[in-house]
Amino acid sequence: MSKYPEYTHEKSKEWFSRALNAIPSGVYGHLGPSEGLFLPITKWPLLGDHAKGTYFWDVDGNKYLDFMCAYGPNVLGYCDDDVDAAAIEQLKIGNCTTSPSYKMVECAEMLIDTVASADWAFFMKNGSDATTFSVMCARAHTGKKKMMFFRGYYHGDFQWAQKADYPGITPEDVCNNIVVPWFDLDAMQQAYDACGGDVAGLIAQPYDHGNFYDNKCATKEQWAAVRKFCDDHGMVLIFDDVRTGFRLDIAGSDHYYGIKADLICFCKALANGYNMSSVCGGEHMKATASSVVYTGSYWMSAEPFAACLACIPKMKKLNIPVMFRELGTKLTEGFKAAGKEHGFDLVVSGEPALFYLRIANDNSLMLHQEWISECVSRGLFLASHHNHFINASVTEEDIALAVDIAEDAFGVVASRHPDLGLK
Amino acid sequence: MKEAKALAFVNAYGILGTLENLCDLDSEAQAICKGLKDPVSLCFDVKNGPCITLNFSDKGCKLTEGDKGCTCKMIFSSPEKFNDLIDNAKPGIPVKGVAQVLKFLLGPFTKLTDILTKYLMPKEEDLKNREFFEKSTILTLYTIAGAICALGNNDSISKLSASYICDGDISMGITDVVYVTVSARNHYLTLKKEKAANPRAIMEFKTIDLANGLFNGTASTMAELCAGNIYMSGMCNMIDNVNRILDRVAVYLG
Repeated sequence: MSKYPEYTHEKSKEWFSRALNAIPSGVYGHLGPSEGLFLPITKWPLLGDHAKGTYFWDVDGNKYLDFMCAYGPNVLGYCDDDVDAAAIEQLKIGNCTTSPSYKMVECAEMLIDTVASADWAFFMKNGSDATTFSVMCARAHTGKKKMMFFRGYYHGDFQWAQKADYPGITPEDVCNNIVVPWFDLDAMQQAYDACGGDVAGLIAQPYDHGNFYDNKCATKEQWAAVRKFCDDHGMVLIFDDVRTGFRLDIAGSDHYYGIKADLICFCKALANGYNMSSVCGGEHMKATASSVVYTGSYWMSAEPFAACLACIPKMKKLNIPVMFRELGTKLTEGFKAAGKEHGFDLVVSGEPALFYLRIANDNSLMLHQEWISECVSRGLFLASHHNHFINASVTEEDIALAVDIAEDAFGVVASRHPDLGLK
Repeated sequence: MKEAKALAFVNAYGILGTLENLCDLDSEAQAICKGLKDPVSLCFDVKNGPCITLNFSDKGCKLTEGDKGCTCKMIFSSPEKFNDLIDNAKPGIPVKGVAQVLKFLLGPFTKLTDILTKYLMPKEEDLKNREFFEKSTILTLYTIAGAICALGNNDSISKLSASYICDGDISMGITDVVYVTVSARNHYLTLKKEKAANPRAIMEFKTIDLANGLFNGTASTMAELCAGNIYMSGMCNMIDNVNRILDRVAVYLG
């Protein structure tokens, strides 16, 4: 019935068994079966072999058209020739050295020229490094203690960014966190007043792209109001652009929404998978950033800077925000139409470059999970409950293939549930 | 750290609540119930804590909320005092049916709770008996499920987890053995000791041995999930938050 035969994962299982012996959870975090919600696990690849463009191959040799893009870092395509050439060239002449490479300076200058709100750039490795540095800067700058968050926030996994009920976290770790509904100025004011104005800043993603619910795009008006609130209350506004960075706007997502953040965090799309992150900020925050004690063993390694210096010009040249919007729109319209053919109500939300999917026929998401797993086991890699990512290697043919596999998978799920009368 | 009020709810709904299932499952407990001349409805009324009535009859035991219909009643001036009943067998103050309270408390009730303790805090040698092992695991599941709801509604950290649980039923159980439903409405959790008809989320352990291993900490949830021995589907964020409460259950019942 299905024209795409299901993959098998014998080698994946073997490798994963070895992983479980050697590594807690085998593959921990969002790339693994637990946080990645591989439901059921038998349908998913567990370990990869190689990748190119918008495809990766698992250890069983199965090929996947990948719209998760390593959860964001793959922005130009896996193993991009230009970025890899720059990185490899840098490796030959020096990487982790006592005196950091001048490439770091070039990289900072490029970010200043690229990001609208940036007068400087500070480098680290991961998104969590960047958000943590930003929060430290906000506190150092204002001399205040508490940080405001929008409900459903995710700013990495450092203690302060988790919640009191998470394993290993104490209430004291998060006692300075204030959580308010998105863009609710009254709630912000009440929370501000409740702690006597002891609020250093607000950290937020550009829009609510949480999991398990439809993503909610923001408006310029909403961000303008929040910007004003922060200005009126002496709060530092931090944009966590780790996930969305460059995909909405090469000049930063704050620019996309018509405002300037005081600090903006980048990571995933900076260097097409090479390990670096950055916080950029306005001139008024520069002295504070200098005062914060913050560094790491590999933070000034040259290879990622070289990769970033190749990645950013290429993103600009391709005008990826426009490209991703078009590709994302075309892809998701294809998915929706394919679903409709079989009686499925596929809801697409969020920005097209980071589209989020949900089958709305049932409120348990079980049909959605079935469909996603049937897509994955036929070579279209999607996530059950996370936004997806577009990369610049996606072609019209890839979109046609993705829609065809999705349609096939809808058919498989529909035929399994004749009782639902989907058509 | 345990909070006294939350512990009192765990003791009421988790521990004492499992007497319902003990009286269903265990022949010795059934015999004690059958030996009752008259039904006894014993209310535990805790100031700033739970108020429940355990209704015993020859048919078994049924927990109801509040003191409606109770034939005898004990009051406790604080959650700490009630927790002392569970931990150290220190009774509260009888205020209704005084003679019946003392007689029942020192007789059938103590016998039943002793049997329950045997199952919930099993000795290694008892667990070698398969029938005992299975009953112990099933009763532990009921206790844990009761404790999840008690903590989700009363423990300050677990309430945070519950605040992220959307409305709907979460089905938990051991495949083809036993099922419970944690029902969430406006972030308030209630336990139904039956399989959910329309769950929004499902977490199911493949075997009773696996469930036992998970409850006593010898099996890894993650490894078993990855091995496909724990079935999970639906609104996994509901399960995720229940699992965070489960971490707290371990603190309270450990």
